Amino acid sequence: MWSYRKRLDRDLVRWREAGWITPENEAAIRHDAERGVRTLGLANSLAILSAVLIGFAVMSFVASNWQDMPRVLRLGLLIASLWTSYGLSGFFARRGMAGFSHAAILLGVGIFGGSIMLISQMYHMDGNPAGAVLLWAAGALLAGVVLRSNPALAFAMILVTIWGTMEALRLDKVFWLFLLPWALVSAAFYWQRWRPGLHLAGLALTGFVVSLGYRLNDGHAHGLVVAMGLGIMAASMAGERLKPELPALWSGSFNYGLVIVLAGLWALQFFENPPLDVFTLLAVLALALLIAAIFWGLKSGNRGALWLGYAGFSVEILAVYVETIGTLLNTSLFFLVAGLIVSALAAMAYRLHSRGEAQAKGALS
Amino acid sequence: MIKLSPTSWLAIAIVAVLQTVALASMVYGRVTLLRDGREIVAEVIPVDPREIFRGDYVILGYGFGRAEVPVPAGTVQGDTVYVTLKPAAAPGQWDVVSASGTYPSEGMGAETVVLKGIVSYVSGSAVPGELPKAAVRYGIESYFVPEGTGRELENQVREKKISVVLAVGRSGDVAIKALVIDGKRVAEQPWL
Repeated sequence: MWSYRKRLDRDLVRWREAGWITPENEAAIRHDAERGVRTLGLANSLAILSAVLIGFAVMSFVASNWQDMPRVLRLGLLIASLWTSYGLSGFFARRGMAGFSHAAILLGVGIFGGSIMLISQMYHMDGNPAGAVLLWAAGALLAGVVLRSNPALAFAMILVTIWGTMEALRLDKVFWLFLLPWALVSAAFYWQRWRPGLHLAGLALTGFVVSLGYRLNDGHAHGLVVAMGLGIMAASMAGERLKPELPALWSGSFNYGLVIVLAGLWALQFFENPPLDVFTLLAVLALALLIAAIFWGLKSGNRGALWLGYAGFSVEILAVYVETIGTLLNTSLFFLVAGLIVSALAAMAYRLHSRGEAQAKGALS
Repeated sequence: MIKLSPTSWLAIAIVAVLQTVALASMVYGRVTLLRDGREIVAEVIPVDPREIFRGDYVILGYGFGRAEVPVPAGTVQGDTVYVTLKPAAAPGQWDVVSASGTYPSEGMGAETVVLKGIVSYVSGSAVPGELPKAAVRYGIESYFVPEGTGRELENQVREKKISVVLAVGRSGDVAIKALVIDGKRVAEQPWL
């Protein structure tokens, strides 16, 4: 929301100066944008916060009187609070207070999870904590789909990721089964057409792919990770050609592919301790890839790739600097060469840019 | 066709009912296990914290859990194993007879009992031809101390021996039923 307003601010000034809108139009647009953000944004965040606070109040009250209650009363209390929160969500939704309604759903999902933990504790169950998390995730997914609640779905994705991590650590191997609930929750995000959710799904899968490098081939499969990331990037670039009507999907998957490649390259450079010549080669590859990503970001209007490129470039340079201090490689020479290459690229980019500008002007006039 | 939205009471009821059923089935499974399961008594050693009942829960150590359980070759971390126990000479002590990947079909005598566990760690056998040894968890290693009763229990324990009463189901599921301090059952609650 905030970024939208900032951008709108800039654009409005530009449009007024270009004479496309009158100052009255500008004021009207600003007024409209202001109203939408203020009322909805603040009310929704307060609703979520109030749900958290009330949840804590109920929990601490119950906790202090918990032991004096017979088990059956405790169970009744848990289920009553579960039903109350879902009832509240219906009450709010029917009055058009969507934010409050989603907060109540999230509260219900939280109480469901709390109930699982409390029942386990009541009966001294210590079998499989990961199983409890999976059951909780299933409840969150159910609420997210049946009540079409994005916050509940986001929570389901977080729980699925926690579950996958716990199982991978417990079994000490790649936990492929993670992909099944991941796909279910991702499908729900897609069905809801909720972009932040899809980003969450992308982030979770990125983590999974990167973890493969540390699990497969006795923990030395980072080359595979790099290859997979490159594959995802290539597929996204091809996808953008073939189906240009889904730009957000392609730019998103391109960026996650880039993150995967970088994670793999960094593991190869700094985790595997390669000999100096291999290390240098990898560093040059990483820098070349990042510059390519910046180019691609500029060319296709993918701001994520642009920023990932800049940030990754800085991190790579810094890491190489730290790694090569005091080694045989002449650090200053490395940076001199890198600097020269980048400045040549910058000159090239400048030329491309001004040519593009001239073409655009020619087309306009 | 139901309308998938929080404005639909039917949709709300579906979520609330299914989640309630999930919780109820959890409780039902435990209650039937505690009610119908075979009772065995096993001596335990509080592992952590040493001063039992000071924290929210204690980790209980069982002789047959720490004992290196010989498991079939090829068993890996996270596998389910069925461990057959037989009572040892001392009361509350159990010896591991064998372990297998499936529930043992034929009985090994009325006094033996089979527990379902999960392999938490496998140490390869040094001697060829010998079965690998594994540490096994049965899901009965935590005892949650009711709030406010810790001090009293602590006083009861002192130097005495602690045992737990376990309920063992027909498929090897096992649950903690009660705590036994110096031959007396303490902190036993109604099943529901």
